[in-house]
Amino acid sequence: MPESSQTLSPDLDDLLSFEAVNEPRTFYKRLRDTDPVYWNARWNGWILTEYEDVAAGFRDHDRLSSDRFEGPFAKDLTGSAERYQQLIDFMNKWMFTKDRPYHTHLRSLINTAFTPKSVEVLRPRIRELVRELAEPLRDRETVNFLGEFAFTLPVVVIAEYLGVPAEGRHQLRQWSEDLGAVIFFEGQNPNRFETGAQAMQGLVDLIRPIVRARATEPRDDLISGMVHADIDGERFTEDEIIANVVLMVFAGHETTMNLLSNGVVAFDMFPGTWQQIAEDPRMVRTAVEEVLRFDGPIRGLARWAREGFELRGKQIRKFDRLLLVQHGANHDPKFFERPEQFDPARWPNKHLGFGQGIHTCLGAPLARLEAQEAYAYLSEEFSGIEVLTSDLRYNKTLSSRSLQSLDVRFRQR
Amino acid sequence: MSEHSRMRAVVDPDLCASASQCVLKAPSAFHLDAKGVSVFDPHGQWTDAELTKAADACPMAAIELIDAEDSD
Repeated sequence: MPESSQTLSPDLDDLLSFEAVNEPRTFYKRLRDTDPVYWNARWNGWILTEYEDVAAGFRDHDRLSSDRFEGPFAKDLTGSAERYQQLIDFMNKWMFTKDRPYHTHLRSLINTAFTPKSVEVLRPRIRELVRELAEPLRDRETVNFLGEFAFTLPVVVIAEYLGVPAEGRHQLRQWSEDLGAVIFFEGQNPNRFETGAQAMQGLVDLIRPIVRARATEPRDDLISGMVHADIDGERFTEDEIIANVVLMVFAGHETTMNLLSNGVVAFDMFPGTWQQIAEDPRMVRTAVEEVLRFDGPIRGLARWAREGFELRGKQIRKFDRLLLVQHGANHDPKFFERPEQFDPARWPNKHLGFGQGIHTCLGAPLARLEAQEAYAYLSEEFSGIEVLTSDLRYNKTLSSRSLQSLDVRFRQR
Repeated sequence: MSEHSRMRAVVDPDLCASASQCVLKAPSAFHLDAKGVSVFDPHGQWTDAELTKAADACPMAAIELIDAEDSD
């Protein structure tokens, strides 16, 4: 597909058009107004943009599958299984690509480590990291917010929590991006399986020795916890641990980086909101929820129908694909008052930024904690974070809402 | 047995994300209603330990435990 022009495209079937990628609020509004259960011939599936349908879709585990190794999404992966066996084998142990009951097994063994109560112990360390990272950015004319803050904070936090060395974090980032290309169906990238396989190899080679070392000498980290976890007689295999450590390295920083930076853009777009959280630090909690609603890191996630059913008069057939568009649902005026207003005090705010149902984001409590601490400290120290990048451009992916670059200036109080 | 228990649970429907961890940890205390929101059954055959596990497991911190004696 050629690079789209700057003009808004009328093409509702192009989910990677300039408009869809860079102006999702107008794009998904047009989709929702046209048809909340829209058949997209190019993507070959249904695009759901109303809150009620998207939320119900996330909860409908009986009829809507997340499995990437069965159904209409499987061909792409299993067709590559022979050549990229290790990549496919490990991806096949990722909880978010599995249905019950295997999902229940994987999630049960790790859920405890990511509950709000468990991650709370990380708050002082996160606070310290936020200070350390922000300090050198004072008085600078231009700060690369993605590279110098938003990427570093989450990758260090998740690496330390897991017990994986954070020194090689730039390597971790590259591997994560290469795996992301496989998972999020960046169809235009012909080498994605090749680079994805190399990334998986690199990560497995890094993590397997750590897993083995923790088996004999446990430390106070998550890998040790996973190695020795025994929930009612259930245990992880070594490969299950490695696969899900890879998943957490990957899922634990890319999305949080986007949460932090999308929030900075939202605060900058709505004058006075930054001052609001500075004056009332308790508001940071609701403000983070509002960032997740207004411009969360995930645009939408795909499912497929295990059986046929009817939805708003449309006949969904067995094996049909469905894209549950969280970004669309989070701006649905039927559910949210003044959805285009970024309101840090909005409450209640039952956004779908983390999804719903059994696949509800495992790392949600940790992401919340990091964003709360980051905005709390930065709003206390600085009177604003001014966005300098004039034309904000986002990466062309179906699932994530991620900036290509974000230059800012920290304004001193 | 719930008759001997001192605990009760309150689910905040604005926070509940239907992750179902509470149903896994304390199946006789929680079920999801038609809208997917977790509902607590004060008369179920749960134990205090199960209730604590369920509340701790909730990724949204949507379950608050209260002392029944305080609330009655």
